[in-house]
Amino acid sequence: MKRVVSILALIFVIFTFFSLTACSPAKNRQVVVYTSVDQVFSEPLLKQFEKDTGIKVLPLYDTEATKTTGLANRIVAEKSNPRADVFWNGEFTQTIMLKEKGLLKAYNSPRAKELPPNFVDSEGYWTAFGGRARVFIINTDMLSKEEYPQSLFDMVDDRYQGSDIGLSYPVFGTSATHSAALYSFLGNEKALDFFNKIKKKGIQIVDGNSVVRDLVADGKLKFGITDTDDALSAVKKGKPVEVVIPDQGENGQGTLIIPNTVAVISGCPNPDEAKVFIDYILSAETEQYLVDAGWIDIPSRQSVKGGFYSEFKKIKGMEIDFNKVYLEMKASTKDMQEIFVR
Amino acid sequence: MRFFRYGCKRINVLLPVYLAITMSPLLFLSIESAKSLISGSIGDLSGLVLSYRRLILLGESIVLALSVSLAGMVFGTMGGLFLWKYEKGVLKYLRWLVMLFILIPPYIHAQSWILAIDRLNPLVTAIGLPAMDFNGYIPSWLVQLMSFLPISTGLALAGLKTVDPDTVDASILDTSLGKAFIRIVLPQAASHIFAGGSLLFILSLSDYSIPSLFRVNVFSLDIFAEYSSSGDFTGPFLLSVPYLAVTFLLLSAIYPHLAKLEWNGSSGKRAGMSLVFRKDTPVIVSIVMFLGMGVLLVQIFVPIINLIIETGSLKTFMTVVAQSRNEIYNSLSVSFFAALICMPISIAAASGIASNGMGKLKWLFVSLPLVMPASLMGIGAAAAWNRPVLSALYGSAAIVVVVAAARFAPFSAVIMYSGIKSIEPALTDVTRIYGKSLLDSWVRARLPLMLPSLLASFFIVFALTAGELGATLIVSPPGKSTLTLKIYNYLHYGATDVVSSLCLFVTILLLLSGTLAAAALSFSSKLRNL
Repeated sequence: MKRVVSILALIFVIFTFFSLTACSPAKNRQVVVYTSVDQVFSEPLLKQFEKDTGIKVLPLYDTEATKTTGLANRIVAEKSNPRADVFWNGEFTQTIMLKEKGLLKAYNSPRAKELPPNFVDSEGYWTAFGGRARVFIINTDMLSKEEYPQSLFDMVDDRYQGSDIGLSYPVFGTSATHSAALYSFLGNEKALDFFNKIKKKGIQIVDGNSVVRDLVADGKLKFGITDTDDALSAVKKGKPVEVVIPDQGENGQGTLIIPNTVAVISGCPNPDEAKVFIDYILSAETEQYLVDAGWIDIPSRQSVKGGFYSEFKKIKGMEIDFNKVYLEMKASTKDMQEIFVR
Repeated sequence: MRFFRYGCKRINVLLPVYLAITMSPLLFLSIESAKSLISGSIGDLSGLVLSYRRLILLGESIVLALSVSLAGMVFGTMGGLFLWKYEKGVLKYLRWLVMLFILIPPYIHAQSWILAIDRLNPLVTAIGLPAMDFNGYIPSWLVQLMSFLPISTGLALAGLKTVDPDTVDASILDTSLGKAFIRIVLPQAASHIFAGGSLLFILSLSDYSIPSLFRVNVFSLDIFAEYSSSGDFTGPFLLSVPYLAVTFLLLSAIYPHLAKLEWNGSSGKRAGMSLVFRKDTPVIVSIVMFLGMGVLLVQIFVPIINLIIETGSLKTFMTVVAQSRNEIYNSLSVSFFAALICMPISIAAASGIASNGMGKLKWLFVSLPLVMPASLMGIGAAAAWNRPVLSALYGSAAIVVVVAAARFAPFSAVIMYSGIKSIEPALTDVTRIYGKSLLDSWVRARLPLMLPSLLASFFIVFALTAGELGATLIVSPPGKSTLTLKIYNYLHYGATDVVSSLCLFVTILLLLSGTLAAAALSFSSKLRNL
């Protein structure tokens, strides 16, 4: 029996070692931030927050492997004993999903007053800021300026071969949000018709927005639809690509602008620090930083200067209600699965 | 079985620990799903119906998995024949190289093959041929096959080593070498080859990352899409039950075959390949084995060469590695402790199986956690272990260790079982009678006799944990990112040099640890034969 006790003691020592290692920061002020914002953009900001406030940040980043839904689903799985204080999301539907499941705590940040009214949840459960847009990335070696697509619906135009165009799986990430937004904006029938045409045309459905970017940048596709941060990263690397914002004409529907959202988790272990973090992240200085870093391309404040493409500040966005887009999510994802996952 | 009666049964106290670690995620998911189903809280069940589309998708996924499995059995046997024949001299080290590549994660193979085709395409177009479109069913099949081939090769080799050379030699008196090969050699090795094929089938069926990378839709992607959109695991879990059941049945069929494997090199019981066969190998068999070895070499060198080229320079490699030291430390420590924990609990599980009664049922229990795809295991673990009373565990890197142990302890258990079975009971009886204490008996006899299995278990769990992604990213605590998580993050940014450097580092790390383990195994085997 002594031997068994020895083995159990060994296991206990190992677990204790890990526990002590992980628990030591708890003596200081800390905030646990789950973020789906790309690590290259969010990490420097979190370090700056630590310097400015003295509050230690324990970050958890999402990966492309979970199609950027891993953290929201993890918050759901951890609902009985929340570990996260703040969810900083690169889009909005997953945040609203958490609100609907009762996993968020209302917090009206004083900074929210500086933001457009539709960027603040009516009950204070989440606040949106900044944004990325859905844009075309075009290979300039393969298309002349006259041939550039100007509208989302040009994707199904006879001028282009389906095999020359890329779209990431519309069942995941911002591509899924985009399809839900089209359902909300156009109505289910028109949107469904559009996606059926995309399928019929044989447009390349690929594994993520970054893959669309890479395929266009490498000349394997003539153009594709992706997010501004992905497209601009290729432009900054000097790839033969250009960015076109779809549907900007007088009668155009505008393109989807996807804001960041930030929210406090209900029952979180560090609610005070969470509020400090949210105030910090919603500040004009932070927004300017994220614009300069290349994460936000469409600032939500007039006072924030534009980024790489300053004209992005004037982008015409689709007139949508974030909550309605969320409500369309289930129907649109189901349709997208039926159409594209087969 | 005296060994278990007098020694190992004491360690059975750890059997509940094994069961708690490995079974709790599945148990929790099952209970929660049943509760949701009974209470009707799942809501719209129409999304969970096995519709025509889903049936077709499942059928296509099975076809892909079957083709990977069949090709794995064919090429694995072909390569295994080569390794079987050349088990002495310099060429004997090839088997270690092949086996070490079991540990290279599929994403490294995928990345390497995409780079390789990109590099080949200008040459192809220069000679007037159309550029290769590396998308669709064939690339998906190829990369999965390359990723999993060392598994089927290893099992084919193990099967070939069970062939009785005397029977082969005797049969050659009556028939040709070729017929003897087909009638005697292959049937004797068939169960191991089939076990390898079945494992490849399971691995291929549960993987959506490689098919989706090459634009192939599979059933597991659909389940993941269902989960992503709902944020609720109960529905997708119920949807995956038929798939889990098929996997479970297959596993329970092949696990007894896996348990026959020997991890201590030559046991001295076999004389190896038939001498007649070795000297006068039929031409057709020679062609087949060289072809198989060629495929294995392609499988090995495509990743290595491409990662080296893409990394660019030693300076880039060193810089990236230096910038990732925290992730390297986290990966190493988590892998080390997972491998360590798996040893005692797996001995407990293995001794439980080896004791009398309910043999098959016990195998089912031990292999059950293997049916869980990584993401489901992670979700189940998060839901099961995230309790206020267990905050110290769940909030620390220890939870990653626990989840890795849950995923890989069944592999460890089968290795331990094989180790326990290979011990001569008389030896342990002697130490029990003449040893000063039970501890003395363990230290002086049992542990040294089990050393090859302990080392094999440690190394395999270490390497599998180092490459684990699906479950780790669901339970990994804030600020404790692993190397694999970082690689996936950087894949998204198109930072090929960083990804290649880190992949190369992981490859070197796994090869080094594998080489050390192989050397230790070889050394302990020599000691045993003294």
